[in-house]
Amino acid sequence: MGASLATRESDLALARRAAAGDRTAQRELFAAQKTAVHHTLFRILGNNRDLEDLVQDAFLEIFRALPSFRGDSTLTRWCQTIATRTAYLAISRRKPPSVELSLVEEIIASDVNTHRVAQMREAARRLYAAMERIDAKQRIAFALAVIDGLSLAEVAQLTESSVVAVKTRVWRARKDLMKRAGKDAVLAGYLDELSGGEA
Amino acid sequence: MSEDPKLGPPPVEPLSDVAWARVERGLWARMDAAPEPVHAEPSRRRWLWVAAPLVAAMAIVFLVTRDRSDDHPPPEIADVRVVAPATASTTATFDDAHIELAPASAVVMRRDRPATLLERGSAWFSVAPRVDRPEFTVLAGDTTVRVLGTRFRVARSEERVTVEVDHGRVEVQYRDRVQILGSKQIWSSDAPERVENLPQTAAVPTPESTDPKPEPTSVEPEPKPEPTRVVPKPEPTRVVPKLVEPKPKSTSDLDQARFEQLSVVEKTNPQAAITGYLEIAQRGSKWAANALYAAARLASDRRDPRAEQLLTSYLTRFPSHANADDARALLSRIKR
Repeated sequence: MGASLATRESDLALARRAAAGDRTAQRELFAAQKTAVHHTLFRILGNNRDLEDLVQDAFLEIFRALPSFRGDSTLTRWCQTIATRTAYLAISRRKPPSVELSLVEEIIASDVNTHRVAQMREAARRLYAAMERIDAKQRIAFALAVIDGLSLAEVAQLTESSVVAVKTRVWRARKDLMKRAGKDAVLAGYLDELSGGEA
Repeated sequence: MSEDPKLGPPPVEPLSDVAWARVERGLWARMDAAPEPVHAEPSRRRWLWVAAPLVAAMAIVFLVTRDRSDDHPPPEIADVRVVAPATASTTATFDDAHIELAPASAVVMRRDRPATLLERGSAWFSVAPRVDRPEFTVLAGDTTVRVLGTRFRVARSEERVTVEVDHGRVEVQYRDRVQILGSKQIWSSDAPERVENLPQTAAVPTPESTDPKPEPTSVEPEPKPEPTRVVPKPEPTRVVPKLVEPKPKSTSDLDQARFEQLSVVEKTNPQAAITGYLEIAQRGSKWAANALYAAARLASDRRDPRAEQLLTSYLTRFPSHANADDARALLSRIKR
């Protein structure tokens, strides 16, 4: 899905003003892109813990790198690429967790939606906990392609990799996660569902 | 369990408004702290290509503006960010407005229109009558304050905004809601549908306060009338929004206020400033000498042909005034 010429031109104009140090343009850019940047970071990291700092880190890097924005992609996609890079650095710096996964909480609420939301939250928690233990690049590829539902080409753009590399990472991540799921039926079932039965 | 519909991917949990406010505040603080956070590192080869035409363009602009003494374009105002130190207030002027920033407050003044953005803290804005110029605007979060000439205070604490009008009238737009505030009235984004009167005896909150809340505690409560007494008691004063300053001022006070307004106008509209100064000079208040000198000095700066006559007139009328020596120096420079 290509962006219109007008969007590209307005992106470029805004980027140039912001790159020149125009604080108003920087604020405009921040307001326009903050949701997309947060979305990407959240998808990769799985929760809002530490995300305030990471959003700041991402935007600092965005403003630093703005002079290199040429309008080849939309500003949103370009910002998401930097957000992905920020997430990668954050994951690389983290120590792997030492705590084992906990058991599924007993759901008391009888309402079907409440039950489903609780199930999904628990499954997502387990999934991201398992993702903490796999390779950072595989994790990012999996999060963007499988959880967020982006195409391999889009993930390749965000991760600045080839489509083949992304495909391999997603496949390896899925395999690794399935192996880690082991007897955890909740996680295995969730992985299977997210992968469309390919797991 | 196997009958359950699919769970789907986990939703992206949004950050709260307060969290976003923290992010934004932290980001700009880090941007300010960084030495050169947003500028590209110029390539060694590229700077010459940029610098040469730039220098040439600047030279042309300089020559053109220097020769056309009667038609100076207003100086271009760049976006300017003013940050008050943590422990002291600071002042700034922008497009005929005087801004008093409370400690640790920050405003950004727009380049392309008379608008300022209150990033954090609070500030008093004294805006001279706009006459036929565009309205002056203050932005603070989701709140926009439009003004045609007044003194008012805007305070911001994260996403909460308070607007307080000392005199004059402002229009406050908060999201889709618009409120008009008159003299001694206050509005808060906490209750955007309400405009409240400030008690007339209330001390005007100092700009040093970074707390956006109004300070009505300094108001003495009105004494309750004693039912047994027949002594006539003055009507409790109700504050009604007014478009003009309620208390009368002396000519000298008015001239002083006008003089201060004109000193702000000098950069943007020097001809109007000279005319205004000369009007004050004709009235004969204690500001006449300052005004006549200011007119002469401004005319001299602009190579206005009236400069010599004005300086001579000033020295004739006020030969021992504080600026007399400067006036003589200017006069001798013109005659040289």
